[in-house]
Amino acid sequence: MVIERRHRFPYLDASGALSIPLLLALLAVTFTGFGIWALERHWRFLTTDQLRIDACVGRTASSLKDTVESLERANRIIKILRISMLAAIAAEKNPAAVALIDKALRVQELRQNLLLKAWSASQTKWLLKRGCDGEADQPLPLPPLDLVRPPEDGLGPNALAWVPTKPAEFVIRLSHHPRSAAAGVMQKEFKNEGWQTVWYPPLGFKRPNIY
Amino acid sequence: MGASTNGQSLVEFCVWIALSVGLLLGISKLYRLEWDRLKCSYLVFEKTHQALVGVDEKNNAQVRIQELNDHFEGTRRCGNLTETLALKKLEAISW
Repeated sequence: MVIERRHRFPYLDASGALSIPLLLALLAVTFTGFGIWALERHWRFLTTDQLRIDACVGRTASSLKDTVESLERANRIIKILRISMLAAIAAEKNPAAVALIDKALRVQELRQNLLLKAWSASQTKWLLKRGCDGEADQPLPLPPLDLVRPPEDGLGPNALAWVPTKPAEFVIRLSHHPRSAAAGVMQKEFKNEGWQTVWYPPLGFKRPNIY
Repeated sequence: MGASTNGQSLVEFCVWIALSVGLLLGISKLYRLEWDRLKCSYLVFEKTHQALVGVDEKNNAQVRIQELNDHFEGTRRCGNLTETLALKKLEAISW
């Protein structure tokens, strides 16, 4: 005698009763796996973008600090040389010394001019390359170095002077949506100690939404 | 379907269910571990980076932040894992 089993759904029979739950479980496992992978990929890109723009901003801030410190060092040398020039002219004994000091002054003047030109070139390159590596980043223009040289007098070239006053800090910012990075070059607590670089809070900082 | 094949089906069913449940539990554990690792590393990075750049936010992600001489160190436990990350202060980096 053959007992026919009747199911509510005609497509479910004894051999396929588990197929649907197992299929659902398999789908859940697959989608969860893809979800975790996608999130990992997203967070990895956010992290690498952040580190990349941080490195770019940090390197540029460090370069700006070196430039400003070199300019100020040259300024100090120019001031010392001008005092020496005054002394040499007043003594009126050694024209060779005057010529030597004048040459040294010209070298420092040239060095400062080259540093200023290099910074101007960096500013242009920064905008043209959109940061450091042209990866569709959005840079804010690099800060200008507002330095002017007063007209030359009888002692030779003058030291550069900040216009209108020496800034307390320079800020460098770069974004790559949704991340951004910023760094500052600021005067140390005791102003004769020079300059230092610090990370700044970026604009539009986005809080991670996974609490 | 005779009595002997019914028994065979039951054994196959039980073995299949046990294997499937075991496999699902294994995969779930693996996913859980991966999620812990992922969440931990990302949260530690975010919180340590925020501390480094001076974003003053309430730390509700249970990341322990320490400011050391030349870097910030963030640590968090996620399950059995511990993630530690050190990010250098700008002045301490040599380019």
